Amino acid sequence: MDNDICIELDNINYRYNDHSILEHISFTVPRGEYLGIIGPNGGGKTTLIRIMLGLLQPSTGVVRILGQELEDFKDRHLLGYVPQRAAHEEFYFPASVEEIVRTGRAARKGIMKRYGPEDRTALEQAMEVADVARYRKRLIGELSGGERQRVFIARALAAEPAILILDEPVVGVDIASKDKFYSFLKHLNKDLGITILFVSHDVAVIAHEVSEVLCLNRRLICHGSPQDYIKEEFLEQVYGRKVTSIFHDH
Amino acid sequence: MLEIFQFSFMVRAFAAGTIIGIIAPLIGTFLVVRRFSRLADTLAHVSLAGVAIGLLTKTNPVISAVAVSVLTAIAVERLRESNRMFGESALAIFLWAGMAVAVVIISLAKGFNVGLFSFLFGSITTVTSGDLYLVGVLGILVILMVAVFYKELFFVSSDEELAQVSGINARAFNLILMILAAITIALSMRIVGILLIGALMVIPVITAMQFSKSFKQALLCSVLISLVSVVSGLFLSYFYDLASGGTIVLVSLAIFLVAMAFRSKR
Repeated sequence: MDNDICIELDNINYRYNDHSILEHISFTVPRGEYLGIIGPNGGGKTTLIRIMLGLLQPSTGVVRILGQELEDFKDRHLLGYVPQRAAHEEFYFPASVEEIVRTGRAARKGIMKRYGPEDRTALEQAMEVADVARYRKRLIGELSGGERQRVFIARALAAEPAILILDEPVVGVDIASKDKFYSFLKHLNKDLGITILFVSHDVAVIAHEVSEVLCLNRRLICHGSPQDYIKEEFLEQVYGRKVTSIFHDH
Repeated sequence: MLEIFQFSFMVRAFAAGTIIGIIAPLIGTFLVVRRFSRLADTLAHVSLAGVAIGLLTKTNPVISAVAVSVLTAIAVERLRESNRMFGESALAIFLWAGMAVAVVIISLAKGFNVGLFSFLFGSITTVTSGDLYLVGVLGILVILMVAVFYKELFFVSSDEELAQVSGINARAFNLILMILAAITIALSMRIVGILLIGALMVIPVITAMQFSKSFKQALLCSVLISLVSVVSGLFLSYFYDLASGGTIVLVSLAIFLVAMAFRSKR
C-alpha cells in the first residue's frame, strides 16, 4: 500500500432491505487532497461517508484508512468527522465551547487517563485555528449555526487528525459565514496539510473550492478534476436532469 | 434542631440521604442531557417488582430491587441499540411490565403492607443499618465510576456517534450509564420513594441548567441543589411528620421556582 494514500475503497457495495444503495465503489484519496463529493439526494453520499467512518458495515468490499483495513485501524483520532446535523440541529446540550472542543482529545488520550498539559496545548491551538477561542466560556447552544460549525471543526482539529470528513457542513449557515468557512477549509488543507473530504449539494461551490471531485449516484459516475467533470453532460448523468452550474467568486 | 441526631434512625436517614443526594443528580445530569429522563421513572417502577420479590422471598428488598433494576437497564439498552423500537415505547413496555409483575407478586403475598408502602413514598424511619451499608458501598461505587469515566461519559452524552467514530466504545459506556442509573434508583427508594425518585434525578438538574455556563458547573450545582433539598426535606419531614420523598421533592421544586424567577428577572 502506498503511504501517500489516505483512504482506499475497494469494490464497496451496500444493500439495505433488498435495495442497492451503493454499487462497486472503488477509489483512492491521496494525502493532502481536497475532495468534494456530490450527487443527488438518495445517491448514497452520506451512506458512503458512514461506511468510511465505520458507522455502517458494507455488504461487500474493503475500506482502508492510512494503509490499514478499517477494522484494524486503531488510531481513530486521525479521522476527524463533522456530521451533517452539527450546524442546523437544535443544540441544547448544556456544555461550554471549551468542553465540547476538549472531547476531541478524549479518544486520543485513552480510557481512564486524565487530560494533561499536551491536551491543553492542542485544545488551545485547535480553538485558535478555528477562531473560536473567544467563545470558549459560552454555551454551545448560544452560538449561531456558523459559529457552532467552527466549534465542531475545532473539536475535530483538537485530535490532530490527518483526515477531515465533513458531511454537508454549511447546511443552515448564512452566506457570509459560508464564505469564511470555505476559506477556512482551504487553509486547513493548504497550510496544515489535512486531507479533506467534503460532501455538498452545492455543485458550483464544489467546482470552485476543491482539487478533486467525485460524483456519486449509487455508482461512481466520475472522479477527477472539477474542471474536467463539472460539465453539463456529467451533471445530467449524476442528477438525471439538465443542471447548469453557475460559478461565482467567494 | 440538632437533637434529632440523638436518634440512630435519623443519623442513618441523613447519611443515606446525603449519598443519594449526591448520586441522584450526578447520574440524572447524564440522563437529562441525553433525553432519557423517562428512564428514571421506568426503572423506579420496575424496582417495585424487585421490592415485591424481596418481600415475598424474605430477602433484603433493596438488593432484589438493585438486581431487577440493573437487569432491566441492560434489557432497555439492548432494545434501544437494536433500533427495533422507539426508546419511549420500549420504556413504556418495561414500566407496565414492572408494575404488573409487582402487583401480581403483592397479591400473592396477600396484599399491601407497611414495608411496601414505605418503598413507594419514602420513609426516613425505615432505613436499616444493612440499607445504609448497601447505599454507602454502591453509592461510592457510582461516584467513583463517574469520576473515572467522566470524559468518556461526557463525550458519549454530547455526541454518541462521534464518540464511536473516534474509537470510544459508546455501547459499553451507554451500558455503564444505564447500570449506574439502575443502582442509583434502587438505592434511593428508602428515602425518596419509588414514585418520586425520578423527580430528584431531574428537577435539581433542570434547575442547575437555568444558570450554569458549563456541563461541569451544571453537574456540581445540581448536586448542591439536591443536597440542600434532601437535608432540608429530611428536617421538615421529621419535624412536621411528613413523607420524606414528597417533602424533598417539594423543596427541590421550590428551589426550581426561585431559579426560574431569578432567570426571568435577568
